[in-house]
Amino acid sequence: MSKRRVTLDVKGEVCPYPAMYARAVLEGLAPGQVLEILVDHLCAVEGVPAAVEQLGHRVLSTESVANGVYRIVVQVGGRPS
Amino acid sequence: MTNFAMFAYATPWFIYGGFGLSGSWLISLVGIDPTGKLAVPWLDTGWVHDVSIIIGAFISCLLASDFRIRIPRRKIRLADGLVGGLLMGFGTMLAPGCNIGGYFSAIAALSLSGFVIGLGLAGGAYTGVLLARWRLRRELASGMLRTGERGPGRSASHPTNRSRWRQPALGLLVALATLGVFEVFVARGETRLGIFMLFGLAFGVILQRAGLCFTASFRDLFTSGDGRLARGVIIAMAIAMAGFAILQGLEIRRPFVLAVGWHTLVGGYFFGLGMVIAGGCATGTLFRIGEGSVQLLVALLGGMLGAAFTARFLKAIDFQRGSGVWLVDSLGWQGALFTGLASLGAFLLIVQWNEMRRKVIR
Repeated sequence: MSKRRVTLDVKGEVCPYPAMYARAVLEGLAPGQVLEILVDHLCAVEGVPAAVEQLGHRVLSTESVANGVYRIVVQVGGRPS
Repeated sequence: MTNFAMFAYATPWFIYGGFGLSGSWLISLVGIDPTGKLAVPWLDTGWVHDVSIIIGAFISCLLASDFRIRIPRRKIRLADGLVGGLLMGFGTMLAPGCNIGGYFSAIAALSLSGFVIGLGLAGGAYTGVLLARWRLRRELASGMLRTGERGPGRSASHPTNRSRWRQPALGLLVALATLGVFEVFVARGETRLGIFMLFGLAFGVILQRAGLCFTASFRDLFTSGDGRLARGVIIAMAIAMAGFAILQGLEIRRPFVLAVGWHTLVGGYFFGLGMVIAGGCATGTLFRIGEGSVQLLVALLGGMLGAAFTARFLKAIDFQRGSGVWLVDSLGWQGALFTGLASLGAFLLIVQWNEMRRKVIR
């Protein structure tokens, strides 16, 4: 189990791109793997979790890491291999 | 959470009673769109209202310690803002109306144009989503989307440097300053401007807190199917419809009816396309500028230019619009309210069905 955490930095991007990028990246990860997304578009802080949960992924946490910057941690859905 | 915020957005029409109603009504007449500004450079109510929305959102964002100058790292996003803004400016002048005056308020007032522009907005938003998907595919193919890797295990931390007091303190200062400006307005006998400023500030705070995004209310239907914002907007429109019916029924206000014709559909289409490209509609652009978004500041600039040029052009060719249709005139109050609410209900059902359809169950 040496699955690496992957980070996706989409600071500076506005909707719909943060959610689209997140979904595209999650597509390429293995079930159980963890993705950290950094966003600074406030609407995406709610929009990205909703968009990835719709695909069956699990949102582990959403927290502010700096003024106006949020980290969303997502685990790829499906059964871990 | 979003639903709660939506209600917060909708309630001013109730809790402020008659004054809030007439205020919102006047605001809708003036139009929240940034368009009038170039034509009317002095302080008119619409201009004060628009600027106040930005400031209100700025204060609200500061109080939440969420303000940040948001500069897109890729220059193409500034072009997105400009092009989207120009399209919105063009659409808003042709239709006429933006997402507030032309869509939200027009539907609430039972003007046929509102329903037509809604179809246009949806079509434009869909095209915008197709465009965004096409760009995403190209970016993925060229390997532009980079991700970083971190070692296994617990989160390697992003530097946490969130100031807890600086931004809220600044927010309070700005809020106090606006009270000072209000005093100046009153002292100079411009109480009306002052009132519009207060409405703008309140709307700015509410829009920012709620993240009330008309763009997403259409766009998300085609991307993730997420219907939260669409539901919020539909509910708010139904409530506003009831409020407007009282005002118009008691003849406190003259019916708010906009011209309707092919131009309404086409204008709505280009506005819808523009808002998806830019990342914000008329109100979305304003409150995100308050949050520090540079991309949407450029969009505002584009919107003002696009609207000003389109207005001149339409005048130059002596463009004739169709006449307005007020559903109450053609269907009577009962028929009009029934048709209006039934249309909103049908829209709501489509949103629900669309959301269910796209949900992946694992």
